[in-house]
Amino acid sequence: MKVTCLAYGIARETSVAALATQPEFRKATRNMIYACAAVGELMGSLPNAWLEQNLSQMAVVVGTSEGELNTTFHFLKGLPSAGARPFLFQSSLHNATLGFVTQKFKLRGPGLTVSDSHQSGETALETAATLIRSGVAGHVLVLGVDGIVEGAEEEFAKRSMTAAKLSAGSAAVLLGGPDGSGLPILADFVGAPETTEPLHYGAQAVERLAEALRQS
Amino acid sequence: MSKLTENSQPVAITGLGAVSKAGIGALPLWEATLLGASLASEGLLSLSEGQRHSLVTDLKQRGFDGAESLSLFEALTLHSIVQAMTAAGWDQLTSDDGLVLGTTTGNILLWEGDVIRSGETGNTDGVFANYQSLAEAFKALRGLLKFSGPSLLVATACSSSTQAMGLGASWIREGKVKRCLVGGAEVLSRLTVEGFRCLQLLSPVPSTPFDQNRKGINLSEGSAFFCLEPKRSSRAVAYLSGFGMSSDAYHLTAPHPEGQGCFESMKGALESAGISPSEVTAIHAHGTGSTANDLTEGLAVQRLFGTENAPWVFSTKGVHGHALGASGALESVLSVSALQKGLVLCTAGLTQADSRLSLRHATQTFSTPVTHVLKNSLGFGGANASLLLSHPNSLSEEGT
Repeated sequence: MKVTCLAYGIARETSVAALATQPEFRKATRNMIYACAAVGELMGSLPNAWLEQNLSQMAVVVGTSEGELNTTFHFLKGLPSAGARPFLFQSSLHNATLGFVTQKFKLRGPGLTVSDSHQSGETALETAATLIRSGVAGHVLVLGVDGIVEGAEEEFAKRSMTAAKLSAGSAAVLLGGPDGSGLPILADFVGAPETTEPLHYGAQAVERLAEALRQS
Repeated sequence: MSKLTENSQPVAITGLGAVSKAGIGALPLWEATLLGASLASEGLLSLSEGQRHSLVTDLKQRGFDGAESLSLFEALTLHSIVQAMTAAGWDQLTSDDGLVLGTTTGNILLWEGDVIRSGETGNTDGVFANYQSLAEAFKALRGLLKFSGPSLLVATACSSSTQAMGLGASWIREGKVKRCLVGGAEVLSRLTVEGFRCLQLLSPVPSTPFDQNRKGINLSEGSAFFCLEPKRSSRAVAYLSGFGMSSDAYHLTAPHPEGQGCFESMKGALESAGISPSEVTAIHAHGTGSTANDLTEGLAVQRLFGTENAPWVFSTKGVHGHALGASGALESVLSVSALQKGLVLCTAGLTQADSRLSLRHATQTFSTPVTHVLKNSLGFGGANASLLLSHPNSLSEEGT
């Protein structure tokens, strides 16, 4: 079955900065804010009538290498002095970003998080295609989001032996079936862009696809 | 007996393996579950030193010479995979096979101690020396198995391995792989124990899911894997015949209070199998023993199945605890055994059912034909997943 690209969104620093000041993002993690910036841009490009009909059943696949390990680090480091802090724990798990995004945008379709180092975005795109081909979902929001643990830069650079991309980032692409799920088809999805470096940044395949769609 | 059709594309389970507090293998887990006594100690279930040693020794005997250097997570995962492959008669994996693993924390034990110590001493030197992102353990595992085929790591909290099983089946159906290893593994960590404790979800005594006087959850560790093959197989021990997923879109740790998401994932699993609710014999509930989970799941079951002649509902976590990302796979091992043995299980520790629910609980394990078991998982972040597991004889002769 043909899979198609229907919409995209890229987290802009201006959007991220604006979201970070809003009260409902006060306890959000870095990944959650970046993810919402990317998804917000994508959603903003879709017709309201289509969203009203399809939003609640939209599936989401998040691809991330480090996930919420930055929050995990702070939860664990704070255990001896501050004890276990619930708001840090609930954002510590790898799929916390997924949970936050589905809650924020009221997405009630299938949701999952996949992780495969720098290939996480590729894996997320391919997994979304599987969900569409196997009939599990009609359209899937693919979200690449990542950012390494603060303070780990030196160790990461040492291991990857190349200059690691240390900043955070996120992009989103909406995939659908051969009929475009009622939306104009931007491109056929023939496979995820290949990524090789840096080692610990899993958002890049989705970013590259979103950027290619933007330029086309 | 209701029949599945080829159109619903059931996938055959031809082998399985498990490691749990009950022991190495599916049989000790099944026998402990039948006995119905909790294996928890002060509310937790971690493998003993003797069990960990046996894991390593056994792996070395099976040809993994460097087994003593494996982490607990790697040893758990590898052993379940080897058990499953042996049971299915798979000599080796090829690039046409797939591997899908579900876990929440992977190899976190390798570095969480360093982080906590840095918090105690204020000295962060070397705190990241043993740091691993989630996929690194998975890469190590693929290396140990000399595996180069398609692989996927799913990290969706307590739904991880249930999703891994469903996705592996989808890979076979779409022709991405010829066969697929699917399952999950989880280790007990300070992250999860302290995290669940601060959310006031842990019970210091044996958990009693669906009981009016429940005290909470017992966390555990373990692993389970399955060999999946396409369609009909004379070696099938069961079929994975349906798969559904949903999101609550409600809260990061609390489930939707009316069970909307759980309802949708169960409904999706039945629809994908072409099975009506009345054909389900039993529901192997997520049933953690937390009030929020039990009520949510119970309400969803009541809405989908009604209360008259509804399927039997049981949870086995009162025996083996809650293995988080591995729980769906571990409990599916028991679901398959229930199908094979024709037994509906009772829920360990359940003496007075929650008066807010009207579920059909067995007061004791009993023998009856078991055709379809629906296995649920509800994860943090509002991630729900359901599998329909079916008896080998449930596949129709028509169209084959």
